[in-house]
Amino acid sequence: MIRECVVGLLLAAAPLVGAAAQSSPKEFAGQTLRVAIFGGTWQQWQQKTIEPLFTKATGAKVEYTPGAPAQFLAAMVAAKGRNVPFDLAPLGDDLLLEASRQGLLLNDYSKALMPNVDKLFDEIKPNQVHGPSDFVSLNGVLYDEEKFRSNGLPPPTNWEVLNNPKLAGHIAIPDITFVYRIIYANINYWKTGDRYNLDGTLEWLKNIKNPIVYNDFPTLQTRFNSGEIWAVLGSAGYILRFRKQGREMKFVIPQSRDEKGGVTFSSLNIIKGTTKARLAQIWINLAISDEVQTSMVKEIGFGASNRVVSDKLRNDPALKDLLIDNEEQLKIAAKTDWGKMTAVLPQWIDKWDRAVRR
Amino acid sequence: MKVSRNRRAAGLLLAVPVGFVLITFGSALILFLLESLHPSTGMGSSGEGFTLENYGRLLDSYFFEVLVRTALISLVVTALSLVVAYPFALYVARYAGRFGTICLVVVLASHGMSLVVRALGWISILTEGGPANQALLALGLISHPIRLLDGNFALVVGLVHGFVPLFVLILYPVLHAIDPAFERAAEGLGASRMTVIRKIIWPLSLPGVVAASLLCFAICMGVYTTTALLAGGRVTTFPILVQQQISVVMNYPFGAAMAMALLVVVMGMTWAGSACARWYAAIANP
Repeated sequence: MIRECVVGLLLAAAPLVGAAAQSSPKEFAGQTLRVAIFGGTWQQWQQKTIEPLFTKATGAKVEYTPGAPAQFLAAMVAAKGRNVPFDLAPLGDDLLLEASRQGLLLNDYSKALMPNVDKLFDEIKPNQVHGPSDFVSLNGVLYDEEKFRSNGLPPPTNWEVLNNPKLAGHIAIPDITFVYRIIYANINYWKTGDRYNLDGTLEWLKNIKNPIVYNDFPTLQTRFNSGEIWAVLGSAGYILRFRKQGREMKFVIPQSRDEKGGVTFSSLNIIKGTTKARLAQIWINLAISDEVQTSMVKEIGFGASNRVVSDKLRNDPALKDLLIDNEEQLKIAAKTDWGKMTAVLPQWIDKWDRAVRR
Repeated sequence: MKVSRNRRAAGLLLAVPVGFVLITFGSALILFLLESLHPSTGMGSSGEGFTLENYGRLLDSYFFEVLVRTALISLVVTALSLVVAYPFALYVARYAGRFGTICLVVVLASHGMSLVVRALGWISILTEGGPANQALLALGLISHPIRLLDGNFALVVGLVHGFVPLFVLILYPVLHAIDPAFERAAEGLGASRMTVIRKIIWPLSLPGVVAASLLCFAICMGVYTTTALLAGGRVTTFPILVQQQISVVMNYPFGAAMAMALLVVVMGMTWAGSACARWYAAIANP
């Protein structure tokens, strides 16, 4: 029994040991890895989980550049491969294509430094466009089950449920400039058959009376806490923080014609021109390790990109909403052409401003 | 000879700050102007050659509408801030005595608070379950909670809260510097307190009022954070459009053209406001 446990522990730790074995702390002593990162809770969590493991394995230091992926891309474009302000940056699928098109990313990965890549879902393993994905996000509708039940509303498994007048003034929707454009692409697809035609969403919105439009999480959380919000179009990741208010929140991706697509992913990318590519890969390997990914799902609420962790945590009723069910969801996600989404974005913003804002 | 040497020394001393301002502010403006004249090639990059296309796009009546809305909001905020700040500054400067110092500290502390924290505070107050709605319900003025956020009301409240301390800080020294002998003389001649304020203190404090109003208006025209947080994505002002182009669409040339247009409008309105104030002063004190 004891021997089985020891063998199990050794097997679990093998990828970490493997990565560390490829490098010695001496090799990186005195070096600093510059990591572009989402600020706030995400940065605090990474400082608590990945950084100690990284420092122990390499002896190197970490310097963070907090911000949003669009800012990181802008900084990379401005640097044009020379004196890039960071070595590693997270980019969502909406920006990856452009970063790749401009040749800003280094797509030369060492499997020896990143053995944990084998554990990722196939669709989000590193390729010529992006680096390994560190989290997936399920985007759909978070709703207060009790409020829906007491008002005789069915769960929002289709978009029409949200048009019910009883929900007037109680639905929060993301601004078009915020990160959840995939949700509007799905509504467009449901309404018009064309993901890139915002008229579908604007038509649907005409029947949502007095929606609350949010552009950042703190505002959304503050208003949610006041009780005025019953349903939110957004990421499943919010559910853990909403539940802390003692409300029974559920998450669902409504059906859009023949599919339930709402999955996006973020990847960690090494920036072309960096001299710390090996260090960056050790960081990435830790970010997608079982230990860090488990902590991420439980503490932050983001979906695991690590299939092993995803399969294990899906049995937990409190966490299953945060995790993708199967590889099929990632295949549906791949149907969205982000190059086209980026191309239509200025028109989307213009149409949205004229229709939704005053 | 000595005068000329002193002048040269003063010129040299001034050269450093003036040069600093010209280089830092002036170069930024020139860079922005140049960027606005390039065609956009998407995603944060601009093409070769010069074009007026970005300015041509601004001729769309929608942008004019947003610009007018931004100016109206700024005017309302400036007027309300003055209405709230002037009596307070007057009280602190002339009638509060030592208690005035405490009042000033409170105002300064409020001014030092982060814009984001202030806005989140207002969201908590104005939300449907918040104290503002509770108070209106308790007073019987409404029968069910109303939406106070997501519109011009919340935006104006948040901005006035932000600008009142600025007004007070500018008006306080102006009001404090008015010689009390004028007041005493007027009162000795039988003028009431209100007449003294209207006929003596207000005209003498007018330069401070104009300076504070123009500054408030100019800053208000460029406010982004408070609008983004308190207008709930339902009110578009010109800085919101600039931010969209710079941070989201990453069309830097068009964003720069918008910023330049906003700057020209603000400068024009500030000049017009200043000219009106001079004209008023001339007819009030012929």
